[in-house]
Formats: sequence, C-alpha cells, structure tokens
Amino acid sequence: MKFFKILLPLLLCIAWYKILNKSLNIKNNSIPPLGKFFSPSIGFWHNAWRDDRYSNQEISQSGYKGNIVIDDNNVPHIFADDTRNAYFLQGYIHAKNRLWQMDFSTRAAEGRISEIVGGRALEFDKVKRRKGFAESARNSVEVWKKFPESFALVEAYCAGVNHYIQSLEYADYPIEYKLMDFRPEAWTPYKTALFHKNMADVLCGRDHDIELTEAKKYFDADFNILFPENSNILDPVIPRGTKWNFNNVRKDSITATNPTGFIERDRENRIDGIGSNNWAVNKLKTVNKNPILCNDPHLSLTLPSIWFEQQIITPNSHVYGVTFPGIPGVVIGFNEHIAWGVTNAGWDVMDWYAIQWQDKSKKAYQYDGQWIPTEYRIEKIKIKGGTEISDTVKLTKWGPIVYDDTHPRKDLAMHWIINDPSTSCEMDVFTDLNKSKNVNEYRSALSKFPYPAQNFAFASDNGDIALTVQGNMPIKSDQQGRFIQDGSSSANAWHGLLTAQNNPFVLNPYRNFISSANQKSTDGTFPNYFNDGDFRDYRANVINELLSKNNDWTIDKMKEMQFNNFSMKAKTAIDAMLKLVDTSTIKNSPHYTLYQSLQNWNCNYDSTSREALVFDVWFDALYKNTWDELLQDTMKKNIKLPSDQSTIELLKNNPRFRFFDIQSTPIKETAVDIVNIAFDSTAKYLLTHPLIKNWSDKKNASISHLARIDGFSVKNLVSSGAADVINAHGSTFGPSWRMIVELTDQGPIAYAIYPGGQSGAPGSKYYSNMIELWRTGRYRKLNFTNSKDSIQSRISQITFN
Amino acid sequence: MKNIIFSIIIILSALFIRSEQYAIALQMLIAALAAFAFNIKTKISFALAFGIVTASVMSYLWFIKTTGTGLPAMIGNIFTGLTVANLIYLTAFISGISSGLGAWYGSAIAQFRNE
Repeated sequence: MKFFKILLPLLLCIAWYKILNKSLNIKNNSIPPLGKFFSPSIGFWHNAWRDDRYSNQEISQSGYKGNIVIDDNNVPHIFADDTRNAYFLQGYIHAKNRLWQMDFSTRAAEGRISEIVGGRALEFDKVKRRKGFAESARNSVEVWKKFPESFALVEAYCAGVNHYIQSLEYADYPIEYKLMDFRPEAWTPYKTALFHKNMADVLCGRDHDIELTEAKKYFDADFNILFPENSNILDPVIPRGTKWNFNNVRKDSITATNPTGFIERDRENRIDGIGSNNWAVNKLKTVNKNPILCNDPHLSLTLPSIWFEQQIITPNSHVYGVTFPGIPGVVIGFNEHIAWGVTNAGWDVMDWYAIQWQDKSKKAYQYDGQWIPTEYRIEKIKIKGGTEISDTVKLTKWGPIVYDDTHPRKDLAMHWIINDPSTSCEMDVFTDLNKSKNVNEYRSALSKFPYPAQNFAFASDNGDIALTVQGNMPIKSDQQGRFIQDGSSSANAWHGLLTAQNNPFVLNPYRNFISSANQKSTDGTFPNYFNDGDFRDYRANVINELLSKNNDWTIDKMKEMQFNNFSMKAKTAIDAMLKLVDTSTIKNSPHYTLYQSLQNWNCNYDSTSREALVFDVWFDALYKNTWDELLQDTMKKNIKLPSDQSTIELLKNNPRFRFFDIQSTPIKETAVDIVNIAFDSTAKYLLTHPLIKNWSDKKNASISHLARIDGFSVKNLVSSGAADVINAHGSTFGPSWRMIVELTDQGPIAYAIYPGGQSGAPGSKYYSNMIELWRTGRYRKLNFTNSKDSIQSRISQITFN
Repeated sequence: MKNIIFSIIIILSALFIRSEQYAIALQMLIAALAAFAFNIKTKISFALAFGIVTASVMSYLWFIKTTGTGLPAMIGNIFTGLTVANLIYLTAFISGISSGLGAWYGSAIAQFRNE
C-alpha cells in the first residue's frame, strides 16, 4: 500500500507527460503536442505576448553594421554603408517578420512539405521534385559562385537571415512552426535560388500544350477562329508599328504530333482575377508635367502577403519599394531617378515532348534514329512520422518525365526554361536596377533577367518612359511549343535564345504612354515566334483607352484608375446579349425588370452591384450552354475551352455557329436560343439563391493563409473588381501591390498599398492592417527619405555595430 | 510560510520555464521537489498546487489577452471554435494538472520517507 501511494502519482505523472508530448492526428489534421503548444511560457501564448512588442535593440559582433529604423507601419528603413551590409540587414529584417513564410515556400518548391504535414502532400512533393526545382536551384548557385562579388551579396543576405534564426529559441518561433511542429533551418543561397524558381513556377509554370493539341483535333477547321494567336482587338504591349532591329529568326513551322491517350485529365480551373497592370505616362500627359508610373501586379492573395515593403539607403543607392522575403534587393519600386513596375508577359517557356519508348520497360527512348538509355534520379521523400519513400524520376534529353504511368500526362518529357543552365547571377538584376539612374542602366540591369518573362515598365525623372519585355525568349519555329511535339527528333528543340537586345522594347512611344496588362507582347510582325494562348485583351484596351483620351493625369486620378471596375468584356457581351433577348415573351414577367436593369448598367463590377451579379450568372450560363459538348463529356475534359473573348466574338458575328446547339435537346439552337435559355436560368438562379444579393456575395473573396489555415485567413471580403477589369480582383487573386510614383524635380512622390501587413505573425496588428485601405481603394503615402531623423513615427530601431 | 514559498516556486516554474523539450517535465519535477522539500501534506498537495497554478496561469493569460495580440482568438478558431476564455481555462487546467501531479508525487515521496 505504501508503494502504491508513490506508484500511483508517478504513473499518473508519466501518463500525463506522455499525453502532453504526443502529436495527434485528427481527421488528417496534425495537432501539435499540447504541452508545448499550450505552455504559457513557450507556446502560442508567448507569441501573443511578444509579437507586437517593439523596443530598440543593439546587436554587436555580427560582422555587419547599419541601422534599421522601423516606422509606425512596421516598414523598415535600412541605413548601411554599402550594399553588402544593407543586404545583411535586409535578410535579418525579412526573417524577423516573415521567417516561416520564407521557410515554408522554399520547402514547398523543394518538394518537402510531406516532412511537415505528412503523407497528404506526397503527390505535391513528387511533382515538385520531378519538375527539378531542387537540382535547378543547386545549378544556379554553382553559376552564382563564378561571380564572387555578386555571390558575396547573396551570402550577406543569407547571413542576415541566419543571424536572426540563431537568436531564436523555441518560444520565439513563429506560430506556424509550433502549430505544425517543425523548426527553422539555416538559410543558404540555395534557398534563395529555390525562392526564385518558385516564383518562376507561379509566373511561367503554365502551359496549354495538351489541351491545345486536343482542341486542334477536335475543332478542326474552327480551331483558328476559336484560338486566334492575334485577336482582332489586340492592342499589344509594344505598340503596333514599332520597328524591330532584327529579321525573322526562323521561317519554318512545326506541326503538332497526334498523341493519343491524354484523356480524363482534370480541366484546369478557370481562375478569375489573374493579371497585372502597369503603365507610365510622360510629362505631356500630366498636370504637373512630371512622369507618373503605376503598377499593380495581380497574384494569388495570401497571408502573410507575398510582398514586404522597405526602403534601403546606402551611399550608392537609395531605393524604396517591395521585396520578396527570400531574395535580396527591391523588386518593384523607385529611387531618386527612376521608377519601375512589372507584369507577367506570359510567354510559353514550358514545352512537352511525346517520348517513344523502346519497350514497356522504358529503359530507352528514340532520339534521332537511336535508342538513348533513360537516365534516372532517385528522390527520397521523408514523411512526417518517420517513414521515407523513394521516387524514381526518368530523365531524357528534353528534361524529366514529370508524371508517372497512372497520370494522363505520362510519357511526356518537359523542357522548361528554368531548368536550363544560368549564364549570370540573376540576383544582380535587382541590385543593379535599384541603383539605375536612366533608361540605359535600366536596360543593362534587365538584360540579365532570365525568367519569368516580365513587362518592365519604366519612367525616369529626365522624362523618359519605356517598356521592356524581358526574359529569355526561346527562338522557335512557327507554332513550336504550342502543341505537344514529337520527342524523337532533335529538330523540335528550341533554336537557342534571343539576345536581350532583341527582346520587345519601346522607348518614348508616340502616344506618350506605355502600358501592359498581360496582353500579347507584340503584334504578329515580331521576327520570332512566341505563344501562350491565354493572353487577354479587354483589360489592356480599357487602360489604353483611358490613357489615350486623358492628358490631365494626377496621382489622384491614377488612384481612381487603379480602382476602375469597368468591364469591356461585360460591355461588349451585354450589348450583343440584350439584342438577342426575346422581349415579347418577358414583357409582363419579373424577368423584364432584370432586363431593364441590365440595359441601364454601367458595366462596373462594384461590390454592391446587382447588375454585375446578374450579368455574371447570365454569361456563365450562356458559356456553359455553348460549350456543353465539352463541359458535359468527361472524355473531352482535356480539350482547351475557347475563351470568353472568343465566345463573345461568336455571339456577335456568327450566331449560327454549330456549337450554339445544345446537344441534349432535339432542336437545333442558335445564339438567340442560348441567350434566352441562359437568361431564364439566370432568373431562376436569383430566385433560388436569395442570400446572393450582389456582386460581392457572388465573388466571395478571401485572402487565405499560405498554408490554408482558416483561422489565419481573412474570409468573406466585401470587395469590388473582377477578372477582366483594371481592378482585377477575383475570389482569390487580385492586385497584390498598388503603387503610383510621380517623379518630380524634388524627388519621387509615391503612394502604395497592399492587401496584408508587414508582419507575418497572425494576430499582430501589422498582420492584415492594410487590407481595409486596399479593399476600399485607398493608399498610404510612402516616406522616401535618406534621413533617419525624418522618420518621426517609429516603433523601434535596430542597430548593428 | 512554507506553503507560500512552495506556491511561489511552482507558479514561477509554470510561467517561466522555456525549455522546448522539457518544459512540462521540469514543471512537474520542480513541483515534486518543492513538495518534497517543504514536506507538503499528501492530502492537500495536489489540490494546493493545482489551485494555485491554475489561478495564476489564468490571471497571467487574462493579462496577455488584454495586452497581447489577437492570436488567441485565431487559435481558438483553429481548435474547433474555442473562445479565448475557454482557451485560457484549458491552458490553466493543463498547467494546474501538471504542477498538481508533480506536487502529489513529491509529497508522496516525502510521506514515504517520514513513515
């Protein structure tokens, strides 16, 4: 009994300790060990206590010197003696605010999410590894090492990140580490390279080769009508009439192969809201006779935000803008002399080749009449909990076979530009751009930018405006890479890369403005073939129309323009659709009110607009009834759908087009029938969805946490904007940074906002504090200064000595 | 007096031990050692430690709730919609049980020695 009195509490202590230290898995969600997580001293309570407490700090013996003054919006202003010290400080402050985000996104690129969340991420990891991000990043770092001065800057950045990581103990880890129960690891140039590859995946990791190959077969003679390479409303990024300084590189063309078996592929979701805008007007078009540059890149909206705002001041450079936590330098911004902004060019730089195997073992494949042995790379993927699985990746001369034998994309090799060897240190681009003073230095800095191809808008205080579409552009034969190609012939390889000097570029065009909005870079006269198949024209046309007709631009007018919700798609479509409505049958029905409201609609996608909701439902029903042959047949899931733009063109110009017929009915419908059927179903939709009252209800926008943790996300955002308007804000995408810069003789005046906050710590007052300003089209004035003293409202200062 | 010193020690151990791996173990161990050293009666050791630590942790967390960030509310959402108040009770309960069990064990050893 005496022993039992000791044994009982001892056993209970051990059992309790075990319970509190065990990770649990409930409904596929990993629950961290409760003892650590709920501990008042080291668990999430410590984050709640610590995250918004700021005090001045002095840090010595880091080997680097400088000051970081943090203003009352948690924007750091870095003061350092040179770029090396500045990048150390930048790495430190990135990590201090966004360590988990940096770590998680690079682990994702590397295919290591299963280590953190378990087996449910296995397929995701496999694809990332098969695409070769890790190997590509390692190769980039080896090239960077050949440029010691540049590499030293990257290493300084990494040292800054690591200095912060080393200062942490468990209690200080960002909350996501505690929730997912893993720990930060050292930051290296390899991780910076991975971050760059990951961004390239977001911006140039898309292609439509399979879908277009199948569409070409399916639509046959109608293919070119439905998928025009140059639409009749195209107003290209580089204005028509621009002279090119080189002749046609290739005059041959390539035909698509006819691979079979690519069936039942899940159709890629049509993601609304993707796109970006930038434009600049010269002094002839502004009230103050100063150039103004605007940029709003549209990305997947996440928390923490993809961007981090900061100012960097050294004796040789003074730059303000947004940065990617993970990469040194300012990516979008301005200095004393120039401003620049980016949009995605959308070139297809990922091509797929059909491989002919020697036999089922797939140990050799045909290439120029020979059987070439397949090479292999073994990927070992750790899974949380201790297990490890191996994945064998087949490698060909074209690149990896990304998908395994159970996937519809099996037997296709991928050639992707990011896996080609680097020729320079890409990290130099932003270092050089940040200190550029004029258009020549801007061009020179950009010439090293390999991918993802971007439209770099430019304005300078000497009055120049310019736009360079920069990225490595493969030299291609006509139609090359638009479809699946035959992988057995080296003749189907790219024919090298265009030199940067020959990339599409325009300086001070006759119309006194430059702009881009993801439309095609050039018209058909450009002497090298490039494609994407998903260029959009409406948004660009609205921008160009506004910029053309107005000559009294101010910062305030630019703010209004960035928040413009007018839809040329809606205007074009609704004019055609309303004409086809049979008003005689609806005159005395409730439908007529709907009809009348649309007649008076200004085609603005305002959050409160009922008409925008009605039009969107109506057009969606029309679209689905038109392409019912493809949407309702699972065997045709891999065929690319014609765009909204092509559908509207058919409605206007070819109302008896064969695809207007609804297959499931005995009669043969035309556009008139489809429009009226869709109108009827719209009225029914509105009756059956009483809670969806306006456009914002329908869009149901949200900003999700990067790891899709609902508790850390912002849901049910009431916001204006839509996919094809300047304020291109869809349910999950939108303007990730709105910036307006006027370059005056006294220096730049800039306003900006982004949908998030500077801190990556959920719950912090700086985590999502800018969303409300952003949502309502308001801005913050940016404090461009080279004087510490002029940053009056500050929350702390960190001094490295 | 010994009860007061015992209470201060176990409160400090519950609130300020920052070891990632051993925070709970150390909290229990310190409670056990303190109960042993101060010869706390077995009949009251668990209740005393549990009560004092639960109350102290609860007070401390209310203070964090009012002066800290909005994180606890977000964590509550992740844990099936728990309110911040419930998170505080849960945390205080876990801490209280840890110290209580440790103190119980320490006092049991002390009693064993005395007998």
